[in-house]
Amino acid sequence: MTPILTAEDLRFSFPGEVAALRGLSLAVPEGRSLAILGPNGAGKSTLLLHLNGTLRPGSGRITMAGQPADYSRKGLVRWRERVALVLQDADDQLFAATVFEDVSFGPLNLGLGEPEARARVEEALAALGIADLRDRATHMLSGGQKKRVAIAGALAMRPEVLLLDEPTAGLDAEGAAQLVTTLKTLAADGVTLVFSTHDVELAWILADDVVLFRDGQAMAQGEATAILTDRAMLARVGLHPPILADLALHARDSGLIAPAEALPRSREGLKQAMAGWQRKPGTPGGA
Amino acid sequence: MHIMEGYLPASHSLAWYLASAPFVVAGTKRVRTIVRERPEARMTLAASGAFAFVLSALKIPSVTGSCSHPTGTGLGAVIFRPSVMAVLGVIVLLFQALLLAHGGLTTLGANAFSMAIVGPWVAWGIWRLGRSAGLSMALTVFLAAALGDLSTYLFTSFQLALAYPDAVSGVLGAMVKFGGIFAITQIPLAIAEGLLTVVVIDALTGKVRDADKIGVLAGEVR
Amino acid sequence: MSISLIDRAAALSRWRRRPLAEKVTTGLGFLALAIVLPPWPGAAMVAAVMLALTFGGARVPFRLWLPVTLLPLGFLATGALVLLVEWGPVGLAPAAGGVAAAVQLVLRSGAAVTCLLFLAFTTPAADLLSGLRRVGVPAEIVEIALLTYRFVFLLGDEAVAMTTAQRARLGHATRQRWLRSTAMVIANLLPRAMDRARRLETGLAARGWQGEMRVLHDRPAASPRILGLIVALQGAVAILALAVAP
Repeated sequence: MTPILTAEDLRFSFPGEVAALRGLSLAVPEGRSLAILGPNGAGKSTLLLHLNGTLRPGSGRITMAGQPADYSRKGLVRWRERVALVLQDADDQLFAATVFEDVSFGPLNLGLGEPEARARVEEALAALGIADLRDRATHMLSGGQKKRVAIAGALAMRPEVLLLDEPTAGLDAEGAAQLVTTLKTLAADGVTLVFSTHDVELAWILADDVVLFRDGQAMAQGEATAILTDRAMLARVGLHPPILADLALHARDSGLIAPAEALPRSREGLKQAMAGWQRKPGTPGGA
Repeated sequence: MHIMEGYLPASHSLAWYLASAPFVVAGTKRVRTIVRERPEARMTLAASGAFAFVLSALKIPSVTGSCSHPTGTGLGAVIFRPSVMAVLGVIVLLFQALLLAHGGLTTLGANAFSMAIVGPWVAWGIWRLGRSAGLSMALTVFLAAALGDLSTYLFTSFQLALAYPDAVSGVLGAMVKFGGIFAITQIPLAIAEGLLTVVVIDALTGKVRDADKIGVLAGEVR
Repeated sequence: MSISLIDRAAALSRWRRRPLAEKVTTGLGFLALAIVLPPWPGAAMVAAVMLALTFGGARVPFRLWLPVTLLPLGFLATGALVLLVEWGPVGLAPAAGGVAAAVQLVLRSGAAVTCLLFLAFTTPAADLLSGLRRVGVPAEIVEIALLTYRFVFLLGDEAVAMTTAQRARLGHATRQRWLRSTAMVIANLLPRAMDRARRLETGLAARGWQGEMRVLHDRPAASPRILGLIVALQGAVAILALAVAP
């Protein structure tokens, strides 16, 4: 399948700073969820800003659906219609006084008429489960709510690809869990997700594919189950396997999970796998 | 110094609205031109307005021991031009009235004239004078900010005196009364604001040479 | 007083969702009457109606409303005092008719403040600003004002955080240190404000911003019947006040 977005040998540096991207290449497969995984300060945000045309690479190129990126005014509008970006700090994206008004900004920028824009806003609010916040002032929302509004604002443009910079950063455990559920629903609806994170656990529960990112380069790209269980490769970028993956790997090494069997990707999955394991003699309960 | 809601008679409120209008309209034209050339100037102008508002909500100790609030008039006039300050000033005054009940809607015209027009023009004029006369950076900034504040306070006293002239000594006598009673808070405030602005500009511009300091600031903001 | 006190109360107000035109006609209409009508009994009647609407209709919490009135009341007390004396050849002396003038001033300003606070406590400032568009204020200016509103709270939070951090390290222990600390807050706040502006620009560019800032509003339309009622009430107050006025 052709990737919906590719980056080839991107190089970029902010004026007067060390290079943020140093020959980065990656492909975003359509209809899947891609984690860009790496330590903080590795240039992940800079990469996302390139993937929707906000920044232009110093050298290298980006293609969309096989076509070279078009940086003309019209080209950028088309690009951002297809590829939406949600920044790490929602306050950098929310500007209007109320939630409803803010979410309507993107659709109107696409030149949609009022009825269509209104319908898009309603749809996006419903998808994020925040229809009840429509009249709320944006500056009075919690961090998790702001994040949802920012995502709704992106979603109202009906993008094919949704780029998210550290989507769970700053959220409490419950907010993060809710967001993951929402993102999984979006992915199931066919939206291609690309998210940057330093959190291997998030990548393990949400990503189909992973790019390992370090020092402005992609060290490796592949299926999440392969990359996130490769202890040696993760160690090279200063990461450890996710706890769930680590436990599952250990179970496989101990013969509790068959080598051909898929590793469980969630707590529930791991618990189900454990149900078949042998009970130690002498412990209470069981058949 | 804000004149409170309803303090001025209707005719005075209206007259000050009319007096401020040309300055605000000219400033609006200037702002629209800036925004047409650089759409992103909306953000910097708005952030500056918000900065001025937040500044006015900060408490500073004044020399007499009471607390006062910096106005940022001098700082704003030096960094922007007075014409742009007229527009930002009106926006800030509107928020002060609506969010803090500081000032008012009927007195918005009068407050705009003293705080968004007279103060900034005086501060800017002194700033230009001081620079061309070769005064030191710190002294010029101090004078611009402190005298900008003082001129605002004197002008407000004049506005109040005009509305409530003394039965015996007329407008002049009323100005002495109003000026005298507010001088207790306003003169120390002007001095504090002058000192504050010197420290702020110094901290903002770091080790840059004197002559380039405002260039650095202007680059930040314009 | 916190920057967000009135704003928060307005956002949570029972009359938040009432049509903007109704609230503005009420607030500004009575405000005009407060300063145009003879203070007795005009301003007193305006104040009575506004207090009834503020506490009976919109149910604005009195414990939030009261502290907000203290600042204008302080100004009013000082200003009224000035009217009690006159500056003659022998210096200050009690003014003839000074008491009457001071009472009139207190009535008028007090009534005007009840109108301002009615508006401020029932209508978020952002709603009022977008209403400015309809009375012919250029779009760019309204946009800048709305963005200012957005930034006010972001910067306000940052200023509070910085001040708290300084206080924790005794930055306000002496007057001199206080002045210096405040200057440092201000000096740090300006670059942060500019940084916020730049980041919002990036964020909005990602949302397809091309220079215009249009959004859809989701507001109920005003009913002509209620607007008519408001204006009729104002007319009645005006006629009654002028008829009774000494």
